Amino acid sequence: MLFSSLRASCRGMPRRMMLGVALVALASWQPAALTAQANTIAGTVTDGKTGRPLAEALVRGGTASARTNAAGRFTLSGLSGASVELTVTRIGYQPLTQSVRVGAMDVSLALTETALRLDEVVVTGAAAETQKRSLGNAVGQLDLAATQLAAPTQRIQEALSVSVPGLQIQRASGQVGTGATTRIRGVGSLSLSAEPIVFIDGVRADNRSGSTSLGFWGTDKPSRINDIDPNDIESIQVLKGPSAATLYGTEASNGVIQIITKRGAAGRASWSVDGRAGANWLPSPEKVYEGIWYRDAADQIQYVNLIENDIARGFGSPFSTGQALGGTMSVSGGSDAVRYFFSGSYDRNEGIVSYNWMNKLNGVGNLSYSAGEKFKADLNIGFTRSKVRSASATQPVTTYLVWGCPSNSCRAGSGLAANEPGRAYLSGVLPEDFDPLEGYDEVDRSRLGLTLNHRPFTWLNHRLVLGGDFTNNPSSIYFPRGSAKFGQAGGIKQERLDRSTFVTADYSANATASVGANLVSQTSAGVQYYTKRYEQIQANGQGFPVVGVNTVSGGGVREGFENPNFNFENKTLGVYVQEQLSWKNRLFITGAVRGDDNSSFGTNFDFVVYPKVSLAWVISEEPFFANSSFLSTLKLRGAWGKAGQQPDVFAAVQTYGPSVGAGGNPTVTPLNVGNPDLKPEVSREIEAGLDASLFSDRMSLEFTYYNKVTTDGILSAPVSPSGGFPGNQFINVGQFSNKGIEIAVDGSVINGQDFKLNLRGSIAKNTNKIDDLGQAVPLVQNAQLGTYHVSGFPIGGQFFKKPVSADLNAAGQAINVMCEGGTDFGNGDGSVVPCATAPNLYWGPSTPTLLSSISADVQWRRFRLVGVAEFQSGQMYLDGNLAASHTFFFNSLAGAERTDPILVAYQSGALASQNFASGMMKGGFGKLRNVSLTYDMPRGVAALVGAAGGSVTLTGSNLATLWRAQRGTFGGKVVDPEVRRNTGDLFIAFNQEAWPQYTSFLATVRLSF
Amino acid sequence: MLNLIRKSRTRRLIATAGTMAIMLGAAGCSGLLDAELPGRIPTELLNDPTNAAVLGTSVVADFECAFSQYAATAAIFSDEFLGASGNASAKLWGTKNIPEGDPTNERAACTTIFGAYTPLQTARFQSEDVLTRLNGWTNEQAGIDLAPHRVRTMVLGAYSYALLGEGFCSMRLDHGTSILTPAQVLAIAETKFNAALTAATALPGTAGAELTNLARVGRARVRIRLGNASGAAADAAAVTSGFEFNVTRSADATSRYNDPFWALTEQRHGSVDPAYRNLQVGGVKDTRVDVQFGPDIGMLPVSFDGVTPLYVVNNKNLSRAAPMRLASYVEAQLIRAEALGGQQAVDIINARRAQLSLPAYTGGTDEASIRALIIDERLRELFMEGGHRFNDLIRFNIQWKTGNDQIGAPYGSWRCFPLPTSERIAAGG
Repeated sequence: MLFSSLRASCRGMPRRMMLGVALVALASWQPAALTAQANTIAGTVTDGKTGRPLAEALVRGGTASARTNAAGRFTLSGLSGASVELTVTRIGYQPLTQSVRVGAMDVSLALTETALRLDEVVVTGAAAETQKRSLGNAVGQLDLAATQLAAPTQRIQEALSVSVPGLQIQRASGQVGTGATTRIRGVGSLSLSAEPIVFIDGVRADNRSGSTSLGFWGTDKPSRINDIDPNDIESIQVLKGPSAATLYGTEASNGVIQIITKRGAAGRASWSVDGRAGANWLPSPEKVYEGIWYRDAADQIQYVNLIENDIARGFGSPFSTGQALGGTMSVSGGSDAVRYFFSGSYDRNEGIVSYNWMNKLNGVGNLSYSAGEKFKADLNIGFTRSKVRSASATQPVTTYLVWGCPSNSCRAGSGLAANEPGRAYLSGVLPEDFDPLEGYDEVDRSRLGLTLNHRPFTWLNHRLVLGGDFTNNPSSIYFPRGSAKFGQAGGIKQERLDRSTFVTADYSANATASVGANLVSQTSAGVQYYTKRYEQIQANGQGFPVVGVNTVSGGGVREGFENPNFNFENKTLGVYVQEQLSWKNRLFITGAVRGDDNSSFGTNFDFVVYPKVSLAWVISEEPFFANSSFLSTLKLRGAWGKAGQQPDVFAAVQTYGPSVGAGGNPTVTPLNVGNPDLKPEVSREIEAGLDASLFSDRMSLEFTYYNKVTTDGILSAPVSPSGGFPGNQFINVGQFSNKGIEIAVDGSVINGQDFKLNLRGSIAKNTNKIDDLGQAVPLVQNAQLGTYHVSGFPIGGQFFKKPVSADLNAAGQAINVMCEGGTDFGNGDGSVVPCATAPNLYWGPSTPTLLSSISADVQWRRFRLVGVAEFQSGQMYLDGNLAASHTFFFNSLAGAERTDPILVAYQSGALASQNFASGMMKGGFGKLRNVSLTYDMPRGVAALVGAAGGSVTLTGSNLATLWRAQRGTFGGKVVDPEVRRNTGDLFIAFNQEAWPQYTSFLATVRLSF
Repeated sequence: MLNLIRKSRTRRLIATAGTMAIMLGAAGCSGLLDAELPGRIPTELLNDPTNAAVLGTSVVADFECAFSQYAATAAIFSDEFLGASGNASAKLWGTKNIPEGDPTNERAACTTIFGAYTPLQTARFQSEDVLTRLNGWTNEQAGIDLAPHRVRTMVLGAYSYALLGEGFCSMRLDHGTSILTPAQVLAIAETKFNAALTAATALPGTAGAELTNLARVGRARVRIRLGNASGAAADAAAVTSGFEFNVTRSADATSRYNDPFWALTEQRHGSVDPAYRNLQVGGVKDTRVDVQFGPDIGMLPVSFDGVTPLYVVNNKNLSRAAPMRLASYVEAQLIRAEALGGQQAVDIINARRAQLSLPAYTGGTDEASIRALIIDERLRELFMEGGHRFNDLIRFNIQWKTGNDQIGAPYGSWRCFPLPTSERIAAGG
């Protein structure tokens, strides 16, 4: 039955597909005749903004009606008269009425989105389909399938960027293959992962933002969420905090990202083929890296721009232009009983140096089976295979570029003259020295999910989700024999295998009952069981006999080990019950409670309970609320709820680790001090806001205020080594809070027949503060970088001494170095004290306090232009490049001059122990993220290749830095104010040596059949 | 018929789903949340007396790691090596600018290049903790003779205290609320050595003799630093001629590398200071410090900073697996000479020089001359060996380098290893 349905729906497709894609026998092929048929109207319903076909739209004409298929096609038969008034309705769109000639077989009906989609279904964790109108909290929604048509991207994190108010994508590197951190409503944890958890089609997925890949030096790491191909995704929904994510329980306090992949729709097979090509480059690298200064033998300051110097001397630029090439092919369709979606894609993306690239193969197969309204089964299968060659198998070339000519080492004889071999790079390491080094990250990831929905009675439905996300992640680095410049004269090969296994079992049931005429009760309950397991094993071989040997076993010295920090598992078992009362489908009151136990809770702690309550009121549907053209729809909402987060399993237990002693004998060494009293950190959040549509439903407004308070915050406190155990200890400390507002405005400014202009803007303000640290003394997060947790200040606030003035004596030494006074780890009081005894004062937060974006969407006939700009501000930025240039390598202008008394104090005076503060600045920036131009092909043009439709999109990304809060420090310029280290779990204001974001151009041709 | 089949399938699915849900719920109380900790050893497992040998060996392993880290860090921090690294932390150790909060000061491990604080504290803790366990067991319970393990644990524990006292500007122990001075820590070290020596002398056989000598040299080292010359001389005099105790190293694991070789020679973070490059005695080459230019022994010409000419040591710490001398009769004799002074010191020095076929000392025997002689002999004899020169710079108040280094980087003002910021703050000050 299932397979016969599949065959029927695919019949006749392959031949046309081949014609379209391969352009074979074009001359002999004849487009299907659009023959007029009496009493019939046929056509296509599309989204007026994106041109995307709309399935499930209801088309009525006379007494006939039909729903559109996946390709947006419909046919009405049995019509009479010369013309008929067609009415088209679809959830989320304004109704359209249009007079159409009977017999017309190619009618095009474009629907306009409603500004506010209150009837849209969102995922909440319960089994019942939940409409947005009933939610007491804001839900971020990204119609990625539509977004990809207008502004395609190859990384989910790029797509998420600026799409949801309050969601921040913090980029860590510009090299291909690396990712970013995701933060929702500020920093959600002191030390645990602040990443939201990710579900793909209801199944928990590996969401580590900083993978443990060996192939990437430092903190430029891949983020596993980017393994998923955006082209396979229908939509993404974001539950922002505990009040929305209570039903997800432990681990959900940072929010939940629900990724819903594409499904097939009933109808004939609909094929889609995308081809894309483009380029990635660093514009004007000689200006990005502005050069270095040094004192010559005559003690005169000289300047050299290493890139210009290389080019002038015929070595060429260290940077190159990488290519991007890829394609996606998908097919979907099916019958009422069986629907399918299959997709496959391949991409090659090259970075801004020749040895950085990524090859990625993705596939998705989704099958849906429906037995009427009572039963539905969805099978979701996905896989990813990718291989990345890293640009940072070791400290990257940027290290040697920004810190060239250290400490006047470029004096005569150093190689700057044209006939000298040296080129002024730090340590004599040259760009071409990186070619033989290899750092690889490979992913072999499979996802499997089965969702069974059953509605035995009209009042009862229940759902079972079973699935897993399984990732094998081999990575390696290889330095050939002879890599003496990198401290590996004998060569080295390291191989690491990381495996992650996420398993989900989720059962939920939902019962609906009418209580009287206007009141409906909806009761939900469920049990969830999640496990995640990480495994890692590594083998090293070094000291190769000859050049060319590149295996671990080829090394003269070999070792293998499993790092206990990356070999553990964690399990959660939770149950919930929820009751929702709705009155006339416009007033909703919801209450729920969830209980969780987790394998990592301390032995002295057992069970945690998370309650929630919410209220939603579509007040504009009340009789007393007069409809007006100004305020079309208004929904008021409020929610309160809790969610939590637990540390990894070993946190509670005091452990030793195996080590190696004399003669290779086994030994043990203190590893983890443990904390048997460890509890989950619990966040409670209250949020209130409104959703409104204005000006005859042409503009939507979303406003939310939230206040999230986290108690028993889990802090990875550095264990004072004086206790004997190294490392950190997870402890529960006092309380911290995140509060703020989010505003999003989306409006159709001009909505003409040929010209449309849509503007969207969002702004999110977040303030976080440690209300009570639970101890009097600050907790050190990173003393070198001035990052501390202090009561009354933001999480990971930046604290350094604040210099006010200094003098230079005749010997050029800093004297009379004065700083602002005040309370240690507090705000300054304006007094001036010697820096030697001065307190550490607050400089600012390490994360942005204000996120904003603006986008414009212009449509003119078949052209569509989309531009997006993003701004982040309020945060501090500690640039390690500048700090080291100023105070360690002395190759900035100010660093070489040594005439600024305060900088001299940082170099060798009273502030030398805080030299990193010389790179501290305001970190705000604004960037033009994307500009995309799409041309929607006329059917006639598409038909030339046998396609039913098509488009061409040209996309430019990271095109310009529009604004910087501060250019740099002491006259030095920061390379890229956006890039920060991806430490995976920590908030951080620091960057050093990382690759700047590159600019890219991508041309995409899309055909549908 | 089709409907019946469909209904039947549906029922089965419902039954399966329901059963699974019930199983999940029921299993919640029976191990569903048990999780594995591969690679981690819960502390309770160490309470088994049959682990005594492993624990005793573990004390040695942790101390050996700490000593290797300390030796490398002290060599770059004192004037034995020029800081010649392109790595910030390594360079800052070399110029005496290391911030208190630098990660290598806060939390170096056995696998990091420089920094010894955490490894030394771990070694100290291990010795105390393991000794407590060993003392609670009998030979019968453990199945081995525990005495050698106990004594070795005591001696190496005392050495951990000694190095913490010698090298650090201040100290915090066992999460205490007070910050200790070096003298206070060294006083603890002496107490530990007292106990260790008592136990060692009671230990029969070669192990007892070796550990007794080791404890004597260690206590002499501490006593001379504390100003107890006579006590130091007495300990040193009792050390058996030819005694030498080495810390083992290995190329098999990074944590077991000879760190002075790995960090200074192989990784080129330092270059032997010019003052050590051509040492002679009366015109005769002093083979105790054999320094070579990199290319002369098949290495690169420049250090890791790409600028400083690379000079390496060619007669000790020659490989990742090279053992490192912790204590020796030679060191004991130098301590004895220093403590006795005058002609007795000259006699001891000349006896050693005769062994090395070096000209005898013929200079003055006044206090200043002997002091200079002792300092000079020690810098040659104990070069790159576990922080002896570093210790001498402190206790003899020798002029440290000031101004700028060989590439213009200014020298900082640290004259001892700073206490990590986290310890200072945690202690409330």
